[in-house]
Amino acid sequence: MLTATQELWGYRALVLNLTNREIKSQFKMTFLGNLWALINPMLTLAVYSLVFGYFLSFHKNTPEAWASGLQSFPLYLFCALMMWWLFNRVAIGATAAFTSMGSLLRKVYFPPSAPIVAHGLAQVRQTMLEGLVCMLVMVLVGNTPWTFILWPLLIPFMLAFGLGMGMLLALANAYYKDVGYLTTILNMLLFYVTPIIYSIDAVGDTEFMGLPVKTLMQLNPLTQFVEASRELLYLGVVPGLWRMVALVGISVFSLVVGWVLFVRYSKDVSEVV
Amino acid sequence: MGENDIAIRVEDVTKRFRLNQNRASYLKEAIIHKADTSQWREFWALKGVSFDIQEGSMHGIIGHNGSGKSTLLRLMAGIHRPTTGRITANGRISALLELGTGFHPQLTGRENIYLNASILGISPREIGRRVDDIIDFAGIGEFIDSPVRIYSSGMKVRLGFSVAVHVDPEILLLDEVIAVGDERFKRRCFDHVYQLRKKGVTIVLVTHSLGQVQSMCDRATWLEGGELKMDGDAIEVARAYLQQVNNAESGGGDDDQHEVGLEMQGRGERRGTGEITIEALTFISAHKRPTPFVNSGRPLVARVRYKAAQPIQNPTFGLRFFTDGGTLVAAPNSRRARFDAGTPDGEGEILYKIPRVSLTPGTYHVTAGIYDENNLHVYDERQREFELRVQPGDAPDTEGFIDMGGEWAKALKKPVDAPLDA
Repeated sequence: MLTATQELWGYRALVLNLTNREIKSQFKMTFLGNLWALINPMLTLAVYSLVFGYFLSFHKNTPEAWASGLQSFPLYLFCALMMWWLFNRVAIGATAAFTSMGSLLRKVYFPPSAPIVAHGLAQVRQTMLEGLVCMLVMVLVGNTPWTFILWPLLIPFMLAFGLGMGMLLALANAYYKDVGYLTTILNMLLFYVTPIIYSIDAVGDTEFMGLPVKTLMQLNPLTQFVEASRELLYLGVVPGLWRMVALVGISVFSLVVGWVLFVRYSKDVSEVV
Repeated sequence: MGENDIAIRVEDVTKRFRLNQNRASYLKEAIIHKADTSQWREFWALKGVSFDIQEGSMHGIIGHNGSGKSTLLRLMAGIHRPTTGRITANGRISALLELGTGFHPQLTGRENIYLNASILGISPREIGRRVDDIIDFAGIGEFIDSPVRIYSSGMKVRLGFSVAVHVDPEILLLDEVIAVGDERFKRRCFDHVYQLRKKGVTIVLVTHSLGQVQSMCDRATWLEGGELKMDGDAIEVARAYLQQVNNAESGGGDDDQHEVGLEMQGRGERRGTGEITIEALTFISAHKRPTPFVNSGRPLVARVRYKAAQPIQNPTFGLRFFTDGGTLVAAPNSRRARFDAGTPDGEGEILYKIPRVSLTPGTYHVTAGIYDENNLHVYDERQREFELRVQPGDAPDTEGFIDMGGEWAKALKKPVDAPLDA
């Protein structure tokens, strides 16, 4: 595992090259070019806000922001969506990134983890951009807690968490194509069981099979990320100690486990990709 | 031979592929077959192969399709792992395994150069210094900033080859790729391979062309059905291989024929670097006189007069006889004959003595060439500049290309199934 890590480090030029390539080719051959980086999330946000916030009146239960009197469902939602999108692009996108380099892997040797890591790194830019837009809007509406500056710290942890999951998914998918289909379904379920379009407090004291739903939700690592993002950007609160420990712990755990398993089982992967 | 002289050591290497890997890609089947792995059809591409590749040598790997040669090359390149056994390489490996190795179709040629170089472990700064050489050698021109997906296959090969040889490999693995592409580029490839050899780069070449093995390689390995059939001197291995092919009654010379067809193109051209040049080629008949005419069935001497501007160590002399229609009928070569030409300096002559001209009457066009000792580099080659007219002589045959010089006889009284010489 240590040698594999050293090897990947030795190939850092390749990783950076692939990252650059990914960023450059992302919106290539599109008319609007890099504008898509903003149009995409804004449209999604608009639809969610309209359907859930307005039609289904979720905005009524939206907590109040740091700036007293401010209660904005779209902003509250956006803080959570940024984390969800980052996870999605890094973890779920890993499979596609891996497969697209498959033909290359059969012809030249390079660490098979390189395209996954590069793909993950390339996603940071998009999230930074979204975060910047989010903060700008927050400033415009007068919501300017100092906790803004802590928000970017969430990104490396989410990256680590997503990469760990992504490596496992990509590898499993290389051997068993079912994993790809399964992931699509589970991903959709995950979106709804994570408090993204609703506040975790909205579930109240509901029980599921005798267990409090709220506690179950807290066990979902994504909940921790989503909540932390909201606290820092919207509520202007520093996450509690327990949450911070959970974030760091789950990120490191995911990355280490994902990496160890990936290294162990990717040795013959060039025969199946 | 010391340990240090080994570039690649192959030790008892086996490789197993699971044939139904694709079908078992569905979980259901994997679970069902979990208990019964014997259901998985296995294929042993390599079954315990051991040999060494000497540092600085040119090593050919030959064998029929499916003999495991390409698998072996992939194992050497580190793409797959041996199932058992070990391959140890001593030096940085650059491999060119398939057409357009590792190009991303959406990226431009230039971007792909950087991508490829970083895969081979070269820093962007380092490659920045060489990128112009690479583009220049590949001869892609303005297409270099267009996406690779619009490239012709020839352009991809050229770019791939160019990257592979410009990254300072210590060991270069080539999988028949240089056999593709137009004649001009092929020559430049071989010239470049020659330059690399001079620098001491070890070259491993997987090929179907026995001609390439015999004329360029020092040593060769012959694989058959995943096993090592023979390993040794290139000329001997190629000869043994050809013999076996002939014995198996298949059209053994096909590949060589193919090569001939390609060589047809440069009529009357002269090429080479000119350290040593061919001044004249004369034919001397039985009457000890230079003559453009010769009688079929009579002895003949071909005399190559050369002029060396500097001492050349053991050059290879070659002649090629073509019919009017352009078919190569004979290609005597001093390297294959293991003739040591010494170290020519200044002017001199080399003779090729033919005891009996077996060509049938007609006009033949002759190419004369002088190459380096490994037959890789061309000093001078005068393509079909010379003519040899064969007139009817003692030999009775006038049709076909050659008079085989056989004798007719009546069979024994009782027909026997024994071979002719029994």
